[in-house]
Amino acid sequence: MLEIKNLQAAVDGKQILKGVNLTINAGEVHAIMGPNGSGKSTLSYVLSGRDGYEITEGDILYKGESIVEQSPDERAASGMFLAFQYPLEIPGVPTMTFLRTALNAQRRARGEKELDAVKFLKLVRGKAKELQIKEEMLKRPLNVGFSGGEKKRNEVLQMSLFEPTLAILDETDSGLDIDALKIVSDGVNMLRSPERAMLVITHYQRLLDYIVPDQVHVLADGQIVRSGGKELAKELEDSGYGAIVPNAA
Amino acid sequence: MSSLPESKHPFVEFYGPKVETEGDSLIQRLRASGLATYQTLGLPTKRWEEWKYTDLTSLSKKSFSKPVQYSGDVSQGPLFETGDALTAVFVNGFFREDLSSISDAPAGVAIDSLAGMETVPDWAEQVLASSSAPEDHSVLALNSALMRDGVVLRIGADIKVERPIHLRFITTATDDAPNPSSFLRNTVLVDQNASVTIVESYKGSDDADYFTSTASQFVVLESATVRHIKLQKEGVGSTHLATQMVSLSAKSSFGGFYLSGGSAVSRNEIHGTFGGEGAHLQLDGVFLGAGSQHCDNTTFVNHAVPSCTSSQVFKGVLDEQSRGVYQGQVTVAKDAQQTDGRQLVKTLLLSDQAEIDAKPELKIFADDVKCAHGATAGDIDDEQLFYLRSRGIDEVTARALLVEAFLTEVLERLEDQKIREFCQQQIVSWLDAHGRGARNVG
Amino acid sequence: MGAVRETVDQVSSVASDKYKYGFVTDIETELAPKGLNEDIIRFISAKKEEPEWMLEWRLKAYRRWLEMDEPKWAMVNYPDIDFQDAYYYAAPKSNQERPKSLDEVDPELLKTYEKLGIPLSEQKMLAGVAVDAVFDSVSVATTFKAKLEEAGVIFCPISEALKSHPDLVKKYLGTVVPYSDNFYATLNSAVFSDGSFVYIPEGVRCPMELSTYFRINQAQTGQFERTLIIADKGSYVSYLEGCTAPMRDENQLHAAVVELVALEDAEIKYSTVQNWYPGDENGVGGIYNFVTKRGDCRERNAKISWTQVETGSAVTWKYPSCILRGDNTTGEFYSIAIANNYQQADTGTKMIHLGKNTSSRIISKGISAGKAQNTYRGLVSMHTKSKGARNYTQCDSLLIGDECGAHTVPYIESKNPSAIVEHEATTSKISEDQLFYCQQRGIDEEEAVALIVNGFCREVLQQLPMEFAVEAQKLVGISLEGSVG
Repeated sequence: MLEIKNLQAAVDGKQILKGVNLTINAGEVHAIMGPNGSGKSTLSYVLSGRDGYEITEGDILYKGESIVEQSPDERAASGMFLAFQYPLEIPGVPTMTFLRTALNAQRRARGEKELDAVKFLKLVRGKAKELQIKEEMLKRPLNVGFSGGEKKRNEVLQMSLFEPTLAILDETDSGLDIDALKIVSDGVNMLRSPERAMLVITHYQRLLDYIVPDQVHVLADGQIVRSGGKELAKELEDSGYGAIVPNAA
Repeated sequence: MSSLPESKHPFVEFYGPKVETEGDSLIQRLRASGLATYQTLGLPTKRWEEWKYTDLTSLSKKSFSKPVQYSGDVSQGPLFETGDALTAVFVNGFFREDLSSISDAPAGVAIDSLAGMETVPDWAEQVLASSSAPEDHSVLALNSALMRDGVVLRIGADIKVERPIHLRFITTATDDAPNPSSFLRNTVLVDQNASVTIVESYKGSDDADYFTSTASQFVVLESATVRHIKLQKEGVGSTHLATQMVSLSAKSSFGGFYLSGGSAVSRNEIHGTFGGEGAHLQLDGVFLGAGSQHCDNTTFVNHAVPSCTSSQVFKGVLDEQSRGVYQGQVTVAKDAQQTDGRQLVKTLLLSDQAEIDAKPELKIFADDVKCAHGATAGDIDDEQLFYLRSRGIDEVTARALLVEAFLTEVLERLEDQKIREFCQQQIVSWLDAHGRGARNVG
Repeated sequence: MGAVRETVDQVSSVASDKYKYGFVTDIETELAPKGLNEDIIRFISAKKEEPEWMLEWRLKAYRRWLEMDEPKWAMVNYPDIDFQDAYYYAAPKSNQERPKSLDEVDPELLKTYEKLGIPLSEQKMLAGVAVDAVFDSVSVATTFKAKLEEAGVIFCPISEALKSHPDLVKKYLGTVVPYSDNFYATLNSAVFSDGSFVYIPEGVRCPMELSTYFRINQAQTGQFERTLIIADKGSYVSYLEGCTAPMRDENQLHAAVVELVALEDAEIKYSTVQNWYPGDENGVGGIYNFVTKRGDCRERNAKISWTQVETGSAVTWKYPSCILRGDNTTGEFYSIAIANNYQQADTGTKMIHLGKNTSSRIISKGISAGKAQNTYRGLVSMHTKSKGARNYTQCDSLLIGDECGAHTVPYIESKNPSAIVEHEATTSKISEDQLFYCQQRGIDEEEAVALIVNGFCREVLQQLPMEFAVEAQKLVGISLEGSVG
């Protein structure tokens, strides 16, 4: 599904990723953990093609093809989804309008027929119900005045609506209390499937109690310094990054 | 001197006494070009956009006395007891060494009177030449043409001046000059990493119809900090026209606070320009009007370079037939990205005949900026008033309390506690005289 | 107009399918000789068979105009206009004898309107829009007359109203915008060609939305319509105005005057979608849109609401205003002004509070892109007798790209302590974060910009009648094409 080869990337001329290698197969959930400043968020932005994140070396293969030249919306249309650590607010744009615009843009790009208003509404209502999202929230402007939990739930709603083949979750647990974390994790777990790969980026082991990964990687100073099974996360929790990563807090 | 009708160019006849002695110095050239500009433009009229709300035509109908030195007693006490401040006193526009204490300026602080200097140092000429106001500024041109005296002040690099420097400008009617006119020019250079507090205060006879033209130029070099407080409590019949020019280098900071409560007609105009990144300009003011006073605060802030911040809060309280004006223009140049420019002007109108005219203006030519302005005008909030009265406070007291509360937001921006308390005191005594007594209850 | 740019050749090669209204209709046109003098004014007046007082009024305006200077205070720059180098009267020839029904209208003309998407055809009229279409200078067809007549509503070209209802016109014309008001309004008073006249009788709620489409077709013509709307006591009318012009590499002048009079308890809602040709990407051509629009809430409880979506014109100079004369009257101004490429817009409103408990609300959304300059200029004036008056102003600017400008020039004048004025303004840009977020969800950059800008304008778009709102939303996207990337 996703193959990252010796990925090196810079922001404002500063090298952040220094050779990341990672392969994720369909159906797998991988977690990337690491101390602050290790390059976790940079990795998620580079994968989704954000401007200003310059790939200096290496390649990203998605479904066997290099995507480094693709724009973010092209990547999204081909099934890549990034759940943001801090979902953006867009004043004046109702959430419903946004969801429909995005879904139909993706469908158009894939050569599929756009959904009409009735079908769309039915689809969203169904998904929203599963995630315990009130319809009133969907009428409000996108993420404006949403609580931290509501914003994250809205991200998961979009994920379930767009049915991506690769979902990248960037610090999805940040800003969530325990109840919200559970709802969001349940939502994510519902989306686990043999056709779908997931990359969960987190600082804390806590999230991985709910979204149990197949593999855990530790990112430090722009490189993966250790990989292992889910027990690696537990080990990190007990001993801290210091034991694994030199000079880390 | 001028073939144009004299009424359009009052004061022109005062030009000239020092021309011969100064020769071809920069000051002389400044005077000459000031005169030329002033004679071309004349006094501002209401048809000029910048002077839309302030009418100076009355000036041409008055006759002011030519500036003359006065060495007699000054009956008025200081407006502001600054205690340990270094004080430079000017009476009717001329320096009075006998009343001043600048001789004990600490090391690194050079302070002189402009008229008393045999030669004006190069740095001061450069400051004078570096005006941040536009060239076609007729009120400033008039000041340049006729400037007589003022302070020439330099704070050396890395010097942190502990004692405030207090410039006291006093006008008193004399037999020679029953309606005095003064033309003051202050020149201030604050070197790298220095810091200083400068207080300008203006006070004068209530019974004289006098004229004060004052201009101050501040050049603030890298990482230097200036706190500037101007207290204007001129006599009730006077006209006070001030032009403040501030040039800021990288990482420097200038905090201005302007309390205006005197004069029949006053205008305090500030031109701030950023010349280096990371600088901060704060301009705050309180204006209090009563009787038929006209009080104008006009600011121009020019974000010419990136990454600077400016913040302004002006608050006015206007009673009786007084009129207040706030005009603020924030310009963000094409490349001045990451600018943060804010303006707020709020006015309380305490009487049916009072008037406020506000024009907070933004001119933005860069996209990555945060600029905002806000303006409100109205009376004291009825609900708040009712709340206080329901707690047993009589209306007069309640109103005064609410006016004070209204002004608190801007006073709190004054860091110096002593100065803040003084300003508070001024406001309270103004309220005693106007806000409380003059208002009909009911 | 005389302000033809020197770079005409430069643009002839530029393919411009972006401005979809940029076609020219090939219709025989009757033109008065070029230039402006008293004879031309007499000619216009005679052509229209106007009463004597109307001619006198025009001539009075013309003589006043000769003494006036062009206003220069707006933040717009354009070459001097040679007012003698233009036609002041252009009429489709086949229209000399006015068509009595749609069947009689020149089919070419109908095709033009079809291209414009004007609902002239019967089926669209069933949607409830009555249309008065002003083509160059004369009104060609007013639809749905019968139904309006039944309700007692008068909706016709002003030239016709001068014949059929001269007393009404005489009573109200120039009472809101006097003939001497300002340079362009005075010029309009002298040479106005046609425009709409609306009278809603006492107590009548106009049964449908009234609509006028303006189009400048003929080259080198100025268009000077004059619209007069009177809502008598207790009546209501919603009026829509749309504007387009062909693409030409010269600049054309549009100097219209709109006067609204709302009597006791009456309400007028006036919506404009202005999409005059804005010129090309290099700033060549386009309409100079110098318009005076003013409403008078003449008696108590009257309400006038202006909504405008300004996306077109090379230069816009326009301040739809409200005089809140009667007690308890209400004025509203909702505006979206988009300036892209080399467009310049200086627009805003005046809210003049004269009466007690008057209230006004101003919501202005300015969007600048390309090399455009966009200025909000507004006056809120609380007069001595405006006891208890209220104003709220929200004025937001959005910048797209670092070569454009956004300016805010509010004037706030209050002479009454019980009047409350609140003004807020902000300036921001579309954040990279917002754009990336949309793109990550599969929305391409151009669509993302349109989406975000529509969100930014939402409060104003909501004020438009439904069918106009949809059109306006699309227009927002089209106007900003090419502004990113």
